[in-house]
Amino acid sequence: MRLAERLPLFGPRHAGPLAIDLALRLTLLDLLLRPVGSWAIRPFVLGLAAAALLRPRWLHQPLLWLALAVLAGTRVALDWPLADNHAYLLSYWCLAAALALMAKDADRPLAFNGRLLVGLVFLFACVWKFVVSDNYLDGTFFQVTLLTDPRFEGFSRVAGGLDAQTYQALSEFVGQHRDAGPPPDNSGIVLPPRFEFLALAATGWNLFINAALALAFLWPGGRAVDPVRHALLLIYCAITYAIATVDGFGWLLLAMGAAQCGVEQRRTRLAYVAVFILIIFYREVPWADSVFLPLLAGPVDY
Amino acid sequence: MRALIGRIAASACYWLPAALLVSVATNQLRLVDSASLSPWSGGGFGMFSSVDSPGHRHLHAFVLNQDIRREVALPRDMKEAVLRATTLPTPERLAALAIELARLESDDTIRWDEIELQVWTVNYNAGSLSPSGHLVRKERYDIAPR
Repeated sequence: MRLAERLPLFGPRHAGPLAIDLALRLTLLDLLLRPVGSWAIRPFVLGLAAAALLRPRWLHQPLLWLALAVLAGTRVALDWPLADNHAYLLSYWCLAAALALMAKDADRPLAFNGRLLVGLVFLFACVWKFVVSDNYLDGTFFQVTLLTDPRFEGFSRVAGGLDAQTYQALSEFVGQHRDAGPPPDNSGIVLPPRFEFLALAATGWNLFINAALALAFLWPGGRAVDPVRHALLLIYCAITYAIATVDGFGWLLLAMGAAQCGVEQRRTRLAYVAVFILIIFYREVPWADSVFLPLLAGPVDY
Repeated sequence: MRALIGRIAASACYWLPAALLVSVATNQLRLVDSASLSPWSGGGFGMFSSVDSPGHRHLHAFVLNQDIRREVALPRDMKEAVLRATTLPTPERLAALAIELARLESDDTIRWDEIELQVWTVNYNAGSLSPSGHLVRKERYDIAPR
């Protein structure tokens, strides 16, 4: 095989029309389930996404995807600097879809972009976690976040073994507002070992999976690395979005992953659909808060 | 040359989205370093990596004259402007906020000379998790009537 054919840009294998359709449809579903922007932008995004889902011919219209890219980008510009990171990624991905659909073989550039964008997202996430942040590697970030972010309360209590009183005491201690003066007295505050282990495990797992995803998706190899990429991304989405309810980001990553499925990879495509649906369930059924917490804590404690 | 430009344009479907991502994310790293942007914001994929999230940042505003220093209550309808200013506290954004807050504080009873804005975030001691304030930016603006 010539060197050029070994590079992903010139990869000999096509992802196939099924993968493109799936990737584009999952993106449109993401836009419908988690619409972006303010009242001025949202109706256009919803209208375009719904129309493209209902009319298969529109699904492959580059102009439609260009319009979605412009709308997503406008949202980022109007909300600057408050937009979430997946708002940026959404605009890049819609642009990638528009450009790919203008090209001769749409599946190849779309698959390539999906791979590169996922790889770069996790590369920059690694730069932040490993290099720039001064409170991630030692576990402080997760200890604080598990106690201060209300989205993690159920998970912190279930997995960290914190009863309601301990959680509240720790949460109030960490959440104290002290800008000047000495730090608050922490003599009565002891982090339970199980909670400390949970924070360390969350830190270690995220470092591993972020680095593995960056490496796998940016690795120049082709077919041999494919199963690893799909497996890592599916595992990441199935685990992460059960806990961090940033479903829009998860659905977008799955759409990008689906774009890389080969024609023959029917099971992998189904797995992407299954995890996409799983994240819908995570959103609709807050398992930690509604299922496990009452079981573990009892009705009075809860 | 034209052929080269044509080839670059034709291959844009492969590199343009990724080039945009890298440009924005690199600029985000620069803004965090030079303009105190919160690591969670700006498209650099620094979310869930630092305790310095926009939610942990807050603003204190004080109006001052020779004798008095009084904290300004931040109006609820300025919540988004405050969030933008604390997330990326550029001089321009803080100055606009200062002018608006000074306007709300101005009355005929007290003459204020300056307004001071302080953007804070929270640091946590590793191990004990004791929170302590960290001053991100402090600016003073002259608001004395001419």
